[in-house]
Amino acid sequence: MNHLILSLLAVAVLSAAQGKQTFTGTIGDNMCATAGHAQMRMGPTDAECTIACVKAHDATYVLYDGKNVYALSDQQTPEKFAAQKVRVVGTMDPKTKTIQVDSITAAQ
Amino acid sequence: MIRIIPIVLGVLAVSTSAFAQTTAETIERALAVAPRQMREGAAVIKWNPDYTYETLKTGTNRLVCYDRSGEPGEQAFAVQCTSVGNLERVAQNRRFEAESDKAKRQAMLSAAEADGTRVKPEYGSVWYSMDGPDQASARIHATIAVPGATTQSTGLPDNPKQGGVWIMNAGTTTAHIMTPGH
Repeated sequence: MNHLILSLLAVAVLSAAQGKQTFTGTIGDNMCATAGHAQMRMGPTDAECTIACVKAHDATYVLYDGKNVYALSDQQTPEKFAAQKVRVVGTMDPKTKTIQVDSITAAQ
Repeated sequence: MIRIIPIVLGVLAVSTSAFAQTTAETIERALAVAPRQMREGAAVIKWNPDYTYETLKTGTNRLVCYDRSGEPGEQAFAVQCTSVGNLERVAQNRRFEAESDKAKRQAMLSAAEADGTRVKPEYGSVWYSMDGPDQASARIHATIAVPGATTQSTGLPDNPKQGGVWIMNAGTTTAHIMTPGH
């Protein structure tokens, strides 16, 4: 019986880990997710710099939470949130640190 | 309960080994972004937490590569190659990147730039980076270091508006040539 309970608990923990999570961070680009854009001259604002990196230099939009850089399955919605703090709801694959995005909203 | 402990430990051991990477695999990953004809002669190093490094593969040319996958601020797959002459610069970059507060990190970089302690990369050296969720979908980005270069000194623009190559961070030790599409 103990084995059964432990097994069920393990399955429950693993299932929860696979579930939806909310991530808070800043939308950036994968080439310089952690870098400051001030001196790059890619555009007058961080947002324009991020968008230019994606459009002109083949970068992708990512979420940076101050420590981790997450790839985002949705590469359309992040453009309007470039360089902004956002809340991303989705499922994260820990192996690829990719979030299958359900929604992206502005965070306070 | 005593019978369960070895089972749990066994599962943990199997899980850990599944994620562990052999030195050969680390070398192969690090070399993924090296130009094909330079791969065999490139050195591969592994960075230590104290900003020193160990050599995993001795090189015969001037290219050195390292895996930085999953490090703070890096994607799940992140490798880079550059000139061996830039390792001091890379070590200093890693010191700055250890500061998680972006504003503080930027202030430290600006201070080092202003007081002359920012290590310069080799002029004309190439930085090859490959970043993404995994190797298959990772994108390659190559830049050429031109520390101190400006529009006046090179004739190249310091912004991408003309659509050709241009100097990012012109006039600083970080100045580098960017190529559209890469």
